[in-house]
Amino acid sequence: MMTNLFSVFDPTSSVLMLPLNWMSTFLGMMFLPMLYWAMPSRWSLLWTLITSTLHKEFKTLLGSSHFGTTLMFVSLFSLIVFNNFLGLLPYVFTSTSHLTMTLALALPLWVAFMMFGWINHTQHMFAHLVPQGTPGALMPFMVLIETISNVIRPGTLAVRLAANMIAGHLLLTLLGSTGPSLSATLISMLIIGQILLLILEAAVAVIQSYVFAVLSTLYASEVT
Amino acid sequence: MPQMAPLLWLNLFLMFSTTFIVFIILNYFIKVPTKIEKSPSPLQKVEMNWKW
Repeated sequence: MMTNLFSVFDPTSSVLMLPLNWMSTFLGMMFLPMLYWAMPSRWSLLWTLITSTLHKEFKTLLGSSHFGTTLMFVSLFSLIVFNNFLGLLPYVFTSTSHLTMTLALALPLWVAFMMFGWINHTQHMFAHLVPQGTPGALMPFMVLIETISNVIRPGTLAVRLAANMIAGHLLLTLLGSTGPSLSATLISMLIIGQILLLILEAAVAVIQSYVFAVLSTLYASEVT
Repeated sequence: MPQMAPLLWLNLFLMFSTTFIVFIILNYFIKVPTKIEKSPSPLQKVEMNWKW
């Protein structure tokens, strides 16, 4: 029963009213292929293909002096993509639709990059505040604008992911809640529409996690 | 709105950070390094002027 439009996003489960729905964050761990068998399975080969493509992509963004740091961004991608995608299945809670989770991922990353950059490469960070080729009179305003855009970065990272997930789920639940009162022809149109929306949501799930990982890679590469 | 209710925010933050670190560790042990195949280099040609 829909007590409230946003009740899909409520982490309270039915077991003693404890917020156990957050446990769906760990569901992704069951999908990672483990290296237990000597011969790789098909899923393990597919996962290796995806992660090696991502590793190569992030390596070009980060530059040749920081090879090992692509591991963090690829595992960030895997965490977010599993959470987003499994949230589309019925009765699975989407933990990335909550700002708690997305801010908990975005804020420590951004604060770590900023603290590292400002303490160790202070002059480099100051130089980045003025883009190349600005006329002299505009420089104070450019510094202000660049500082503001820097400061809101964790906010935008977190809110982008959460808002995309909320929007998709909300649309699906809104369309679905009109189902019981429709005639037969309208129900078939509704089902076709919902299937198309589900395909869109699956694409958005993968794309948004990719965008999150790529942007945090870019923010990291700006610092060094 | 459920998103804005501060239900145990610190505990949730610690749980998500731990989950992220667990994902990093899992991805480290899963990754199988691949060999890059080097193609055999062609024979060195010595360029000389053609003359009788």
